[in-house]
Formats: sequence, structure tokens, C-alpha cells
Amino acid sequence: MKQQPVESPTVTVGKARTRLDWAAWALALPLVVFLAFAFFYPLGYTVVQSFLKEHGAGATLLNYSQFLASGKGQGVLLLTVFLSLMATLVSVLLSVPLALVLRKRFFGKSFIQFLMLVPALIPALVGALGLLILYDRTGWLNYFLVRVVHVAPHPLVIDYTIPGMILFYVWIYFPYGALVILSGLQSIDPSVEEAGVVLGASPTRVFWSIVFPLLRPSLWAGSILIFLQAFGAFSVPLITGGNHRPLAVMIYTTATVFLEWPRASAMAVIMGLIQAVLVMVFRRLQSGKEATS
Amino acid sequence: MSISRTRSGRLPVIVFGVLVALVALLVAGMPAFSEGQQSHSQAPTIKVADTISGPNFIAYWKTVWIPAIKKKYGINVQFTKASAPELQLQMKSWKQDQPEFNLLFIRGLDLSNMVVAGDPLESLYPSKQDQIPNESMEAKSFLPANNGVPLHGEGLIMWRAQFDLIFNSQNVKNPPKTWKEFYDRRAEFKGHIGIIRPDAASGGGRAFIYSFLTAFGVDFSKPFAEVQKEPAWTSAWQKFTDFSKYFAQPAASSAPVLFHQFQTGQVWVTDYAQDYCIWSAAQGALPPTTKASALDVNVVGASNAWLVVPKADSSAQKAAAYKVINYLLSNEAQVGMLMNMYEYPGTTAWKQAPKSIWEKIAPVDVAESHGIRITNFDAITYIKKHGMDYVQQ
Repeated sequence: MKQQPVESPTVTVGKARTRLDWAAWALALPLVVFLAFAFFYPLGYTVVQSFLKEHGAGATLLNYSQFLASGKGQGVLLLTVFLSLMATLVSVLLSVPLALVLRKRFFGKSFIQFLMLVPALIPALVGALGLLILYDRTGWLNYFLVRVVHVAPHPLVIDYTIPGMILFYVWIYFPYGALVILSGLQSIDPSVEEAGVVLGASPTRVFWSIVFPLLRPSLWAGSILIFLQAFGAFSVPLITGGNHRPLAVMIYTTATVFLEWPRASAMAVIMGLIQAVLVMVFRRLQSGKEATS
Repeated sequence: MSISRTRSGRLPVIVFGVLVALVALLVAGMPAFSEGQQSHSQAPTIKVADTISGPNFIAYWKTVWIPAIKKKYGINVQFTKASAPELQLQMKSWKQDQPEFNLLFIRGLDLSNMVVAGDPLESLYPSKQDQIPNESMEAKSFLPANNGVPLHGEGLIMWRAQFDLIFNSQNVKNPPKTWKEFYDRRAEFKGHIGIIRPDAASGGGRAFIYSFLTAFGVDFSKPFAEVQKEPAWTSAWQKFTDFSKYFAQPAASSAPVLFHQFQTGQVWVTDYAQDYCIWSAAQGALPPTTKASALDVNVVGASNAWLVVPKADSSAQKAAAYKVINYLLSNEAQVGMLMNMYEYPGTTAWKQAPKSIWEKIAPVDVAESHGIRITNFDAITYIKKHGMDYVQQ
């Protein structure tokens, strides 16, 4: 009987890998086509619009230069970045201790975890109106502080202020980061901490020297999520921002009230670029910290 | 020897691929599916895009008008709340006989924008008198132009919005009768005068400012370039800036925020849409002591609703749209709207309304005797873009 030539293992693996690559591309093609029309085309249209003149034909960079050079534009960018950074910082500062508590078992743990999710379940606009009412001068918080516990002589002014907006941002975007941080914390092997305790480290030392470095990737990931959400916030600042109007509100006003689509498109592109750059910076910092730790 | 992936390794890829393919087929097949539905259905369907209705009228469409149209004409109405700027962009891509919407229910400013932009709209008045007999009852003075833009009969007016002084009678016992009196008594209302931002989607703030400037001598009947050169323009804006020091802060970004300010007692008085406010008070969104009264200058028609038919409609779609319009302009629909929603009809049907309605709101002819129309489109654009620059914050 004639023996069939035997393929070498390397060739067989190579052919299998090639078949797999083709199969993967073929299966991914519908998704790629869908993304092309539902995402990349509108994005490309916006970019093209951003270079059009408001009136008349032709391309221009004025939509960008006028916005970036104007005091109003710079103020809006500064406000947007500031609100996002503060919301991120406060959310992370609240998430870590909460996550440390939720690692343990106790009565009511599931209920608290559910409460954490509530802001993410409620539509942002509904939440914004509710917060407006709750924190108003005649709202429940001030009623409690002024009339019940008598700790404030006058109602606190929270609505339509920057601290108020930060508070509302934290309420709405906190779950996005908290879940990631909690998940990261729960994935840390408890025996690593136990080893630190056994070797005589205090709980604080264990946290900073063992837990925190291991938690850092989750902290970065959670921070990025919160920041991106807060940077693009629209409903909350529109309703509760008063005279403080960040970038998304300005884009909305420019497009739908002033009907200046090219200008609004330029602002939207700037917004997207800033978010993309910040995500890359975050990820660079994240990978750098991971490498050193 | 061959190395192959295990069955368990291949399975997730296959499952994922099948899911993606199903989703893609579903998305690609949706238009065919809906067209199939329509072709099998006996009743014609009219798709309405509404850019003006607030929550009150959205509910009214669904609970009153749509069932009535179905009952009377057998026409299905698919109602969609739309955004005018996006609608205008979409209209550019509509092919003949395949528009996304067959009937547009839009605010006057949107209609003016569409006419100025040259968007293809069907001329309805007076050329469609045979197909829309009820258009003969229209209040004719509104039809030639809106915001100073000639309409060429491309819209039929559905309702006439009336702006009035809106006040909480618990705090304001003796409401001012004129803008001058309102301005002179501003210290009395310090921190309690509400206004919607002029750069908001709602036109309430722009109408407020337009009325104020008119009351203090600005003549908007002239071309805007001339208006800006007149001394009254500068002095009226200076007065407005002074007046704004007595506004509740911040200026409301939308009507719900203004209503919230009323509810909390921060705002006692404003100038806004009568129908929306009186209806909202009846629903509990405003204090029950909210009332409306006329000032010497009230804007009529800042939020008038217009019925518009795109030229891209097929003949059958146009025929069905005309029937829908004819119903909406009927006495039944117009008087019902007045009695239930406190909105002045676009037709003369108000003359047949029960007298009880005039105990809550001023008769149409009385309100209109104090009324001004927003005729200067360029002025409104200026107020929209620069109004907040004059508000002291």
C-alpha cells in the first residue's frame, strides 16, 4: 500500500490558523458592515461637516479656530474637564471604601449592591429632575438640615452650582466605576493579604502595600469609565447646571437652537478627540504603573 | 500529525458568528418587513412628525386625535416626536414617494426655517380647498407669512399660542397690566421673575424679550438692520438688562425647570404660554393658584402649530394626509382642543365654544387685541444668539 505523504506539524498548524483567520473575518463581516454604516459613516459625516462654512460652499478651519481661540470656548472646555475630573475623583474616593466593605459578608449586602446600581437604572433626565427637587432650597435635604436637625441656619444652595453639579455627576456616574472597582477588589486573592497580616503588617500597610497596587488596574479602568461618561454628560447639566453649561450642552444648543451644524460638528470632533487623547493617556499611565509594580 | 482546535474551542466562534449574522439579517430585513406589513394592511397609514407638542399634546394626540381619525377615515396615524433641525437634515435625503414622514406638525419657527431653506413643501392654501374643505375656516391673517417669512400657502395653522402674564395669585395679588408697570414694580418682584433662557429650545424666553422690547419702543416691523440703529433698540436693551437684575437665578433652561421654580416659590411671575401653564396647573405641575392675564403687549403665535405636507409624499399619501388635516381643522377637533387644552384654535371655531371657557382664559378677540406677532425673523435670531448676553447673572 502506497503511503500518503505526511505533512509536518508546522504546516498543519499554519493551514489551520489561516482557515481560522478567514473564518473569523467572514463571521465578523456583518458586524464590520453594521459598524461602518451605524458608526463610522455618521462619524465621518460629522468630521466633514466640521470643515464646512456656515454659509456658502467651501471648506474652512474657522469652526475650530473660533471655538478654541474664544474665551467662551476655552471656558467651556475648562468647565467640562474640571467637572469630569472632580466627578471621577470623588466617585473613586467613595468607591474604594465601599468596595472594601462589600467584600465582606453581612446582612443587607445584596440590598446595598442593588442601591449602588439604582442611579444607572434610572434615565439621566429623570434622575436630574429628581435631584433638582431633592436638593432645592425647599427640598428634602434642606428641610432636614434646617428644620429637623437645625445644623444649617439657612438653606444650602446646591442646585445650579458647580459643587451641586459635581454631586449630581457623582450620583449618576458613580455606579459605572464602583462596579469595576468592586469586581477588581473581589478578584484579589485573599491569601495575599493574609500573608501580609501573618508577616506582621498593619491593616493600613496591607492595604497600601498589597491591595492598592493590585487594585490599580481596576481603579484606572473605573476612572476612565466615569470620566468618559461625565465628559459627555448632557441631561444633568442641561437641567441642573443653570448658567454652567459644559460642552455637550453647548453642542446641543449650537446645533438644534442656533442651527449652526458645522460649528456644532467642530465642537463634537474636539470633544471626541479630547476623550480619545485622555483615554490614551490614562491607558499609558495604567500600563506604565502596571509595569513598575 | 495534525493539530486542530478542539470542538469546544470552535463552538463559541460559531455561536458568535451565527448571532452576528442573525442580527445583520434582522437589520437588513426590517424595511422589507415593515413594507410587507403595510402592503398587507388595508388601511392607509400616515406618519406624523411632531416637533412642537409638549407632553400635554403628545398625550392628546394619542388619546383623542389618533383614535378619532381612525374612526372617521379609517386612517392609521403613526405619531413620532421629532426634532426640527434633524427633520430638516433628513428631508434632504427623502426620495419622491418615499418620505420618512407624510405629515409634519411643526412650530412656526420651524416652518419659517424650512421655507427659508427651500425645503420642498406642498402648497396647501388655497390650492387644496377641494381636498381640505375645512381650510376655509382658517384664521386667514396668519397664513401669508410667519416670523416675517412669506409662506406661499405651505402651511395651515392648527393652533394659535397665546403668551400672557403667568403669575401665582398667592404671591401676586395685583398683577401688572402693562410691561411698563411690570418694569416699574420690579423691586416688588425681586428675585421672583422667571424667564426661560433665550437660547433654549423653547421659544418662551425669546417671546418674553420680544414683547418687552416692543413695549419699550422697538419697532420690529422695520428691517432688522434699521431696527438696530434706532435709539429705542439700545435703550430698550438697557432697560431689559436692568430688569434682568430682578430675575430669579438662574434663568430656566427649559419649561419643566421654570415650572419647578414656580412650585418651590422661587418664581412668582413670568410671561409664557397660556395654554401650557393653565393646563399644567390643572395637572399639578404648577401651583393651583396659577393664573393668566393679559399685558399690553402679548406675543401671539410664538408657538403656533402648523400642518405641513412634504412634496415627497406620493399621491395616495397626500390624499390621506389631506383627510387628516381636514379632521384636525374641523370644529370637533378645534373646539375640543380649546375646551380641554386651553389652546386657541387655528380656525374661527372658537366662536362656537361654550362660554364657560372664557372664565378661565381671555376670549380670542380680546387676547388678540393686545397681541403682537413675531414678524422679524432676524430679530428672533439675534435674541436667540445674544439674549443671554444681556441677562445679568
